[in-house]
Amino acid sequence: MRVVVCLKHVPDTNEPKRYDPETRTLVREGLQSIINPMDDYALEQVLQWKDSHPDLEIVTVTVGPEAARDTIKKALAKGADRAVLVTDSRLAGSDYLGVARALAAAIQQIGEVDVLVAGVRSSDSDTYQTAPATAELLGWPQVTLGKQASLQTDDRTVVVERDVEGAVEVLTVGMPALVTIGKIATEPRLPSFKGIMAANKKELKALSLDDLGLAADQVGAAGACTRVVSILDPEPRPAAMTLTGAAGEVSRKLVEYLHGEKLV
Amino acid sequence: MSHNGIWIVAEAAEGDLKSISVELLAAARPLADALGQPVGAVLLGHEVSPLAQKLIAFGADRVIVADHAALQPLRTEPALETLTHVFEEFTPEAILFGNTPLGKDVAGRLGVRFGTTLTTDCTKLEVVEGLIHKTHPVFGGSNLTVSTSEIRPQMATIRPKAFARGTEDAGRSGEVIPFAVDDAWVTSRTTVKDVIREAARKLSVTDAEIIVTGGRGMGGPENWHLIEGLAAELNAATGASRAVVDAGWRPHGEQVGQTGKTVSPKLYVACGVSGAIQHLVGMRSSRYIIAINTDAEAPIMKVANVAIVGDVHEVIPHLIAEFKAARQAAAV
Repeated sequence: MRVVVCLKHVPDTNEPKRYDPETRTLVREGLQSIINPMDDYALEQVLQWKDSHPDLEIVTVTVGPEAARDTIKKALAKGADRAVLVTDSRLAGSDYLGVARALAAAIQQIGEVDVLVAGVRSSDSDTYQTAPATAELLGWPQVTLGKQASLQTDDRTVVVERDVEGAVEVLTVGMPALVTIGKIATEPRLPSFKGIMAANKKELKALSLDDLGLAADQVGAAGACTRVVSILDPEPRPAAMTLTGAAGEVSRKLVEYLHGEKLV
Repeated sequence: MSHNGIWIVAEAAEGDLKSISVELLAAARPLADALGQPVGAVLLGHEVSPLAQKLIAFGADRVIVADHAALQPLRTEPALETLTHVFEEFTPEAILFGNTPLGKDVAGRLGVRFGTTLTTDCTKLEVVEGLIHKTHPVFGGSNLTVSTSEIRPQMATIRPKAFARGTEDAGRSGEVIPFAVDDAWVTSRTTVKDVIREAARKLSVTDAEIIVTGGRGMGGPENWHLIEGLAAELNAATGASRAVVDAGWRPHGEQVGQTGKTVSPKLYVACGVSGAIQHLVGMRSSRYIIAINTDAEAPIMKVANVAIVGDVHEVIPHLIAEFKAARQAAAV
């Protein structure tokens, strides 16, 4: 059985961001990057499947810059078997559909895939849409927003628990399928020393658009359906009114304030 | 083919419209007026036609009712297939979804089918020179991008609670159009095994107008009666910081922040939450923020409208008492 995990290489949340005023794209130079936190949970879920099904093959797939190799190596060190990196300068400025086209083409090259697993969203562009768009291109069903997923090898299904609007749904989906995973009950494992050594010997295959048979106008800024008009800083929040003193006094003042603003 | 109308995908549950449907109409109406086009609404479900008039009352000019037993509850594939047929027939200028489980599941796949992409989780939409400009927070709201598209339909999902509800006008008139749903559209490769309602959690953080969140400063799960007591007074949902969820004090469904929910309530009350960047990205678009913390320098205090420097264990009981007294005074 083969599971593909999507990994996105994203800037660390703690880092200040800068944009190129001409292209309105993020300046990545000098930015510390990490595995998208939700993808890290997705990988952890799949590694847990492999813990109980050692014959499971985990292939990671990333669309990103060459620098994403560092992120991918961490996933290989944790236990993924091999990795595919789609990297091509013509991918710059892709919207999620461009990325989905590259992911779908890469997944088709990997061979038979039973389950595609991705984080529910990325911490940078935060669209929730890249993985579902990939599943649409592949013609696969999906279960999104998973907080726990179990692999049923006997009847080739995945059972997913998802949090939706005050309830937990338990859904079953037949393979091949996409499952997106948010925060699961266990934190992502750290690579072991042995794992780090082993990662250097694992395959990390780089593919270009030509390798995937994709035309340049299907991806990147050229293929993007939306264009960015401007990038703004958020409106500054008003300076805080600070209340200090006895608990009774500050409480009375706060309630007065909330009534004044018609919030309660 | 001419593209016409700002269309919303309405959501209903338990015989009523969900709040997001009304918020979508509030987002759509000014766009439609600026473009001189109608507002359309698509209502999917079973025996939902009584809700069509309510959509009209909140601003829809025409309502497509796609009624089928297999559309209740609404699953991804039946929703996707039915919407594909509806929008092939009605060719919208723009389609708006809520950034809800339905929107997250269906909108992007629908975009692929129509050869377009969408802007997600929009907090503002406006018409500029005939095009819809869509504001979308990125990096958890540390920046906002404004984007637009020349491709039709233009698509967006809107952040719940980011658009103020319009007023209901029961006398408004509009057209209700039944849309026949083919049995072939409503099959699904996904089956529902179980739905576990969390009875204790009446109001979820993504639905609430007011959220009271507790952080590590609460001291321990034994003090959560304070959070719940304050939430009860304010008719609020209870939220939790990551530290609190990781410590097992609260379920993950309540977590606000990068690895939890992104929320935009009218009022966000952070109790004993320090405000790490991973928390702030999930709540800083709240309209009003109140923070209670012993540390005047905590990051949460910098984004708050009102920063109370004090101990949650002392302040919250007083707050609860003040609200109770105010409520009783109002009732007299």
